[in-house]
Amino acid sequence: MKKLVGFMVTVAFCLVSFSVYAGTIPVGIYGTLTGTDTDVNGMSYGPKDCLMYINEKFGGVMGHKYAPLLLDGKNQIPEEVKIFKRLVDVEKVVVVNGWSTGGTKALRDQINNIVKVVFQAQSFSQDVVDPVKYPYIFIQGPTYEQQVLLGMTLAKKAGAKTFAFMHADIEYGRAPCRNAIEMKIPQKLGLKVLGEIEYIGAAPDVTPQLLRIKKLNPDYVWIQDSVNNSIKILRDAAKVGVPASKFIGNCYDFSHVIYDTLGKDAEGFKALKVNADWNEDIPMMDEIREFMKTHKVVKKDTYYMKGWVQGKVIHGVVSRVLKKTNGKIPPTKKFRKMIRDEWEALVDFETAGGIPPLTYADHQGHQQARLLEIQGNKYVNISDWISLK
Amino acid sequence: MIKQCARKKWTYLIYVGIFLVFPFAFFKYTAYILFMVNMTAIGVIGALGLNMLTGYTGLISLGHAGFMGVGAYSVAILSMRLGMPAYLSLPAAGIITAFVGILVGTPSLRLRGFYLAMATLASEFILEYVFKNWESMTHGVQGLYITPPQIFGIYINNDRIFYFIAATLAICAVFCTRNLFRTNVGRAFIAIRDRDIAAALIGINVFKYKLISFAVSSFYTGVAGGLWCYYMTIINPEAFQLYVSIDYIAMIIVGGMGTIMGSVYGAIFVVLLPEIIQRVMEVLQPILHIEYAFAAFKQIVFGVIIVTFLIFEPRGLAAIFSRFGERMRKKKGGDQKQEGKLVEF
Repeated sequence: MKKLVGFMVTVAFCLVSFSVYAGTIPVGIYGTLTGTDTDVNGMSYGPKDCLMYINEKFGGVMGHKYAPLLLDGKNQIPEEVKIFKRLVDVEKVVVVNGWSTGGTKALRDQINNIVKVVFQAQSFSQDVVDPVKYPYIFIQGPTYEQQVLLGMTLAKKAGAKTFAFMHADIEYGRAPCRNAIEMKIPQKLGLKVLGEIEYIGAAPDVTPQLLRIKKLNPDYVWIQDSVNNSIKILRDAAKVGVPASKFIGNCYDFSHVIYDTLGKDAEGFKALKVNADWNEDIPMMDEIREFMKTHKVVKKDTYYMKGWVQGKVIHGVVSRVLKKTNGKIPPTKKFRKMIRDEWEALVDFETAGGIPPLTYADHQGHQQARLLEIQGNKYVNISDWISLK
Repeated sequence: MIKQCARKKWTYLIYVGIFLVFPFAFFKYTAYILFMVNMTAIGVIGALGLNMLTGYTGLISLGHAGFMGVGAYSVAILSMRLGMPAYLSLPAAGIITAFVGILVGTPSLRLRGFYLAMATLASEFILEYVFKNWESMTHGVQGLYITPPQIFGIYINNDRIFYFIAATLAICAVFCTRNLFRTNVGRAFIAIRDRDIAAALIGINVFKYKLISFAVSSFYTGVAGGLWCYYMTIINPEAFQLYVSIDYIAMIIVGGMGTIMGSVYGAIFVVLLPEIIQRVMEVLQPILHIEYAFAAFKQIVFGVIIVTFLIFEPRGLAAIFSRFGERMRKKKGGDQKQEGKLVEF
């Protein structure tokens, strides 16, 4: 019996140890495909589709096709760590498109010191951005803390005197707000923080928190959360008579799902935009439309656009590396190092309108954002691109 | 008889050899496979703890994840703030968790069945709240990052080094549990599970032994949590939520409640099966064109397999393998009898 069990376990390990994907340039992508924050998982489908498009349209890069592998991290640290090990150990990927702040932090040693593979995180936490300490980690856009600063700055310009924060009881929610308070940003801008309202992320209703907001009556409220919870907040705000125009959301609150779901209850809600929206009149959208002729795209939103841009960056960097090697793919370790060096050396990288030109010396790509407001069931620009440097 | 002893000796030597050689055998995919083995070892220790409480003593617990969190945070605080070495912080974490288990168990053990499950669920939420809000100790939702200790200059969260630690502790846990159920304490647990009123009538102090069960189970869980902390190097409250408790319950149900090997089979099942389903779905994905439903399919298939187990084999994998082994032994015994050989059982 023990021999049978041992045999079955050995077979199981062998089954999971082979790589199913053919293609000479393996790229690993993982995100929350099931579980929490699936509302923004277009960012994981985008890079995969972009690389598939490049394979089909251009035959890959210099005759080598990409093999993008998309896995489900479920937004759980052990799952993300397991996937990372599979991607680098079994699939031998040359780039990893990661996901959460917690997972990125858990893997920081693996990414930067042990495996040494470029890791493009979806997190905007300043804790994972440090070109010296974490030379292999890159993000794409301003950090959450910079976004809070921008939100407060724009609120101040609009004449605000008081401010409040609303966030879930998770690191993504708490850390940027606390960091902003610790950095004394409100004092520097002359804003008084009336409260930091926390709610349980999975709670179906946040009416008690909105009643507190109504009592405090700040001029503006910063929502440090993503689309799903922002919809709950605005819905319950309308119930208690707090107008949506009081609320400013971060880059993960920019979604047409908000006004599609809430209608007039979302009028006046503001959010930050750090990349192009779906269906914008930009050359990158033409590429996606061409891809859609033969493939289905379900996640038609700004996050998919961000993911597509990330795919373009991967392709741009890999192309530069292969040009230097005359089209020959170097050994994996060397390839990963060359990709990292080329990535950091990118200056004013154009993404066909998807995002402002990218320069990765600071490992952020760009630090620009603009503010949009929901007016008449659509987003309207109410500021220009603002650099947060 | 002497032949059997010699064969047993060789068998044990082979097992020890496999144990020592295993982490060096997979030249290509070491990190990934060792990661799964290490997580299985942690799962075995945690599942043994839960099986002791639920399978052997009949006390339903939905607070397992909270206790794992207590162990993990204890190790993190003891090692980072007090500089305690791993060989002290792990047992200390187990003792702290056992103490917390006693605190939780004392008011809860007046309850039974569904009500006890709700009480342990409440402890899960209370512990989660403490992890999130006792910021001076736990650093709140940002979590704690730990630098794992080193052995001969290598960090213990290195997959190979960790394998030797975790696998050894898992094997020790299996043997300790087996020996526990040969003592009067273990038999008292079983008596309480089978009929607590009858156990009280024959002089067993039901409350005392239930509390001991809670304490020992929590000790195992605390050690599992401590190992998890050293391996992941980052702990935050999101890692110890209700879904972890459900995973452990799935382990002991699928593996076999009230059996020691059930905890082992269940841990292997819960760790390996999702990976196998993932690979099968990846092969089928281009054929079935289910890119967007692909991830959900994996969850559905995993759920269906567990429900199928519950319907057709509620005693779990341990019962299946036990029956199979019995049949093989009987067949071997029957064949040998036919050949006129002496058979020993």
